[in-house]
Amino acid sequence: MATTYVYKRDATRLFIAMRDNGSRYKIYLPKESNPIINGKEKDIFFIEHKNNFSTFSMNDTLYRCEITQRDQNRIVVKVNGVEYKFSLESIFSYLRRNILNKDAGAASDNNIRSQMPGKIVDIFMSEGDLVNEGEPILSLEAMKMQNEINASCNGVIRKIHVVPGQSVMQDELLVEIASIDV
Amino acid sequence: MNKRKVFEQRLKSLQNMEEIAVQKQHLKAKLTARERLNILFDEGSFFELNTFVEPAKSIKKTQNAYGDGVVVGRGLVQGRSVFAYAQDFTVMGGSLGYAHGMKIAKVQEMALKFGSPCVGLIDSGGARIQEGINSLSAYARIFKNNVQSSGIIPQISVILGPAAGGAVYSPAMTDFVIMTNKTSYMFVTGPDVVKEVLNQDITMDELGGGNVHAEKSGVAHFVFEDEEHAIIQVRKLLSYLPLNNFDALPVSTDVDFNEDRQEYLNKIVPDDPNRPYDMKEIINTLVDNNSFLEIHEKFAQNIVVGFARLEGKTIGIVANQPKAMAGTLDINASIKGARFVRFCDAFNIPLLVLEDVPGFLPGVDQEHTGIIRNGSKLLYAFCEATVPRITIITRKAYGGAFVVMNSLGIGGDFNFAWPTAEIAVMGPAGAIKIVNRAELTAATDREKLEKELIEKYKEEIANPFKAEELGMIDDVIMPSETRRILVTAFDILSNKQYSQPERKHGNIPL
Amino acid sequence: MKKILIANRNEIAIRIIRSAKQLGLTTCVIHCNREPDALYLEYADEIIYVKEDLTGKPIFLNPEAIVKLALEHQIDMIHPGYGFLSENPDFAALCEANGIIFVGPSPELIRNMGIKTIAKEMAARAEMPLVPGSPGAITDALLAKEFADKIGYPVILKASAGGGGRGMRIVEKPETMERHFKSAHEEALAAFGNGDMFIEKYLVNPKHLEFQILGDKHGNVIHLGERECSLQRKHQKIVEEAPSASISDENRVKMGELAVKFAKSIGYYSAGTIEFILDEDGEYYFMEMNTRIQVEHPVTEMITGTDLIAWQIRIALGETLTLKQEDIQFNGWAIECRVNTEDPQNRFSPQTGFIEKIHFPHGDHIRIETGVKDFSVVTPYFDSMIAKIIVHGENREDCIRKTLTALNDFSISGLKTTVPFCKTVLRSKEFVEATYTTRWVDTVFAPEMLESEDEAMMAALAATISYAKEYLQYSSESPMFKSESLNVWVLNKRINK
Repeated sequence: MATTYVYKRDATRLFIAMRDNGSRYKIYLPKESNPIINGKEKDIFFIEHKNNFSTFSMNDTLYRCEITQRDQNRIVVKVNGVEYKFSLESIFSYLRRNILNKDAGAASDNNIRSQMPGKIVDIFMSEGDLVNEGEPILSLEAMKMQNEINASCNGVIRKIHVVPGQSVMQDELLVEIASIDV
Repeated sequence: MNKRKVFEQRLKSLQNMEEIAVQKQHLKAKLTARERLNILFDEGSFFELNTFVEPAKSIKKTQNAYGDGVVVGRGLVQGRSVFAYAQDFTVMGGSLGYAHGMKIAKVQEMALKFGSPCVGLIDSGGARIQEGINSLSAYARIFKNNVQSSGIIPQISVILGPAAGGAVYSPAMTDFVIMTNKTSYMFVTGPDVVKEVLNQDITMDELGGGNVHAEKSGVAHFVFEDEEHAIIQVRKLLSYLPLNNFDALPVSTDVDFNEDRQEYLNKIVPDDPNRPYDMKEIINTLVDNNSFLEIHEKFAQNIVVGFARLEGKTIGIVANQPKAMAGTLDINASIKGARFVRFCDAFNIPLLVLEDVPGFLPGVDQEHTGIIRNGSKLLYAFCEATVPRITIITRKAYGGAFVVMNSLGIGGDFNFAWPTAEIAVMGPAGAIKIVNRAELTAATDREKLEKELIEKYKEEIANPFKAEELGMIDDVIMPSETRRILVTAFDILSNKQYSQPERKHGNIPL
Repeated sequence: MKKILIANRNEIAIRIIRSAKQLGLTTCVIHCNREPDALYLEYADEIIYVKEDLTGKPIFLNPEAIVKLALEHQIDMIHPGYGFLSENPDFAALCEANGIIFVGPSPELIRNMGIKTIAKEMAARAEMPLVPGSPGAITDALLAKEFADKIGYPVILKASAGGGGRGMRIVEKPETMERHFKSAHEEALAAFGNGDMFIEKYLVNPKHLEFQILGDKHGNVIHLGERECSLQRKHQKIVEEAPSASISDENRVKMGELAVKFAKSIGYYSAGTIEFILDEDGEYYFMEMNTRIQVEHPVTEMITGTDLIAWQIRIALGETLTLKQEDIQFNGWAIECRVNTEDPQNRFSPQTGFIEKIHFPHGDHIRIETGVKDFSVVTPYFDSMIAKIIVHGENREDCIRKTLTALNDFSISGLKTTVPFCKTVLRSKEFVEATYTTRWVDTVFAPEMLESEDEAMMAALAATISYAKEYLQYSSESPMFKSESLNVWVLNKRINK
């Protein structure tokens, strides 16, 4: 009855905040550690969340952010009297949005193929997982060496075509990643 | 043949179908039926029914069509039982054949039997032409089920693709319609027919896109930019609703409100009666933080309706919006308000009315399109409602509109007024022209006299303390005290049970 | 004890009350419907209540009504503040006619200085430098060209009868003179029935300087140094400083002497301001004289340690100005930032509504003049300035740094203000180097300059958390609510319906 779906809910702690001027912030909110913004962990302390105010500190500077407007996923935040407008996307809505606005830089697929014939030793990820660029996805034994195959971009694992123990030929498709990079 | 083999084989074909579906749908910026259900339900909770039903034998298939283009079953939404069907556009365009229709009817009937909400995720090309009358009979059964369930279980439709022709009437009869912008359409006759009959060129989006239905026709209660947000909205909406008309309301454990801002209510209503303010600011200050869920946000903006929580308990809010059309009631506003009031009444959701209404919208167009017939819908809905009903008059409460907006006379439980309230048969400018006609015509300095009379009228007649003395309102309260008073008042009313006289059903002026 | 009526509102009313109380006067203000809970009402000894019609003009613009109220309440003197009736000669005259002391110069002086041509004539007589221009009307393009060649391009053509920008042209080079002259001339003729034109040198990037004057009714006049108010938007000042870093000490002395000489020549008394315009070469020209106390007077007070408003009142009471020019010592630097409820990200559009919470910086070197507090209402009836933040420093650099710190410590919720704009100004190269001109907002400023990368990132984080909170809440499996069981009474009634 059940099949494996690409859609996985635990992938949803990553969000993309797009500013009205086009700049993007990829923000990952781990459950227990500091937020990761555009791939870098930031030393940000949460001081307080009250009503529409959030106060953070970074490098000994306090930032008091006020949510001044909220309409679905469009949020306006005021910091020190200056307003910043964002539209918030989850990974999935972002990918779809890109398909709908093809002109505005569509998400590209990055497929990982085996560089040489070999055998899959282990797979560290499952479909629907989020990966950062350079993160190992699987290990491939070839020429009696175990090579870790890393993600070529930030994105979501769309499909894994191999299982541990499987032998693969050169250029065989191993993993499909839906990129969230521009 | 080996039965075990059959079992494995069809599971494999199903997986193939799903893979094809993923590719097809994702390219169109859409999700597959199963992915959608996965968003709708708590992880792993979906229990699918009739997975391997096949289309009628007469249909020539080019590919596997297990499920006949619809996935149905039951899952949990934050632990609560909900039934759902999701049409699969990748199987014969999601067209509704007999088997397809019977599957939908089955979950509808189960939902009614077990007292659980029913959610439809719609993405279908309409009736399956090859199956002819069989397909239509399935539609008929779905429509009937919609009506049978109406007022007993909440029914929600999410339009995620096309919904054309007769198919639109099933969502139309459900309680809430959610659409996505750019990827969903609803119309009775499509652009081709419009072109043929009327020779008008119009795109699908212009004719029946999400924004059109959210702003102009009022068919859609919510419109979202993408499917994920739309489906999560169903989860959010359900968190306010009981499972059925006997169920107790869900009570949120997350109770927080902005105490600092209560003070601000004392100043929000401007002294100048002609200056607008945003009623939503009042609502958001009164209710629990971030709990106001507005319905029909872009349609008939002169009235605001939606769910909110007060001390965690769901309430329905109907409020005039002075910011739009000065808060007058027109045809659309009456219909929007009436439908919401009736929904709340059916599901035992207490009502809070925030009133600032100068009257009904005057005009030839309004009169000729039936403001009488339509305006009476709101009046009827309030008169009929038996749930706890409280009114707060923030400013204007004039004439018939005052009566309509849940006055004590039509069965409101409590009517409170802010000190800024003006309660009278009509606004001061109009009233003095009638009452003091003779004096005014005789006056030398008419303008000055008018001003004096207006002041006098405001002081002596359109004054909340006068209405209080006459018992027409319960109390004049400080705006900053409103939340506290509302909590107590709804608590007093929490066990209100009162029945309308026995009848088959009333005859609301439709 | 004498009674003073402050015919004004907002911070200036509070500021005047402060000085008046020190002088032992009973202070009186007007309560109006447009602003029933205004802060200034809390400071006065007496409040006069008026009922006004919201559709008419505010009481503060109604000379007859104010004088009538003053007479009814035994007022001895009226301080008009700035704006409203402060430079209305008829109001001053009406006060005098009714035996009420008007805190300001004589009605004649107000009238003369209010008419630009007369003011310029009087300035010319006192040998004040004026912007080079044609002495009389010019009717012919050739003559215009000749004249323009003499004073140098660019020049501005103005219709003698003009106003509102009609019949006005800026001519950049000789070749276009004929064309511009003709069209301006025709436009003026069509608009005013008078095609006379005059020519003036056009200052492309001017700076705006002003000298503070104090004079008494006995012929004593001193100046209290200059202020630079070049930073303007929509011709309204927004950041002011004293002294100015744009003039040499030599010019400073000369300009001060000129200002005093001019004020003496016209018999000026009370506080006043002589405005100069400075071109890119440092040449200065007389522009006009303001006969009121100005918004930016605190910067002068900060560096000179004088109370200008107290002196205004004492002078009005006929006291002799005991301060001598040599008593005036300049100490350090002062900057004033105006806090207006305007949106600098959106063409300075005014914002009205509630101030939910406002917090001002504190410190020995900081002075706050404000007319609002938490929950105050900003109405559309009056101008958008709600406060001034004035900071004193040892020198300019120190002052800029301290002002930035003070501005960082300011916070407000509910409305947007010009504070982020002021910060951008103080951080700009042009301000730091003192090369900014009145055209800074038009030529240098862009709304993006208000933003900072870190703030944008923090905003993104706050937006994400707010969004994620709801998203994760509703997409999570754990119920966020408890089910309550129905009361038996309710259940029974529902079942037996």
